[in-house]
Amino acid sequence: MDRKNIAFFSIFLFLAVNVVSLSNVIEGYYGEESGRVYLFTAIALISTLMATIAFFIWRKEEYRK
Amino acid sequence: MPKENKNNNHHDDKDMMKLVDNLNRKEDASLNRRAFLKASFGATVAIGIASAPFSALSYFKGDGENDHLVEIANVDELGVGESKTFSYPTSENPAILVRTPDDRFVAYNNKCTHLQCPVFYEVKENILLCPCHKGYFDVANGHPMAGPPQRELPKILLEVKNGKIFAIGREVRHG
Repeated sequence: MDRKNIAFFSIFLFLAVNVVSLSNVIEGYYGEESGRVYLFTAIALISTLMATIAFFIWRKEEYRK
Repeated sequence: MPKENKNNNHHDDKDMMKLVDNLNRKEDASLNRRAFLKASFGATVAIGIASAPFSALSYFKGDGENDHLVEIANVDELGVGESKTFSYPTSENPAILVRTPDDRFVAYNNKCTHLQCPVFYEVKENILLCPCHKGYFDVANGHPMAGPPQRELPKILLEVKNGKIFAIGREVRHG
């Protein structure tokens, strides 16, 4: 699998990670478990950052002439 | 024979034209692979960022309000199988004190963990019931037994001193 495909599919992986994280953050917030809220917020933000990197890698490869 | 062929070709052309008409070119252009990936990336970022405000709210809310002492009732005020409503830790958090048939005092915040309806004590079934959507909670530990609620009721820690019942703290997740 080349760089472009890895970047392409990893965005969907990060999307899944963010959905699970948001679900845990909301559960933690209503359960007043601040540790759980901070942990999953950190995971979601890191995942978002990595998705952004993956998106720019994909874009660079996709639009290369 | 050539005339027949010509007719067939004519029909084919017509069919092809119909197929081309079926294509909605605008949709085809906007829902291609690139656009799909861009939309997915947008969703990833939106969902990722959506979790941040909860952290901020959680940080500013703090944990300090959960453990102060409040007098609820006298011990002889409640008979076995009776209940009383009060508020703890703030006036925005309604709660219910129950004297169970086995003569124990238990207290929980009585906002249903499904959609915040008030929860009542049903003495006949010895159960906490949310009448809105028939959510049942175990009176012994506040955990959901049936119906839509998934989380337990926050438990209020009690202390009996000099014939009086005091709320001394709260555990939102327990057991």
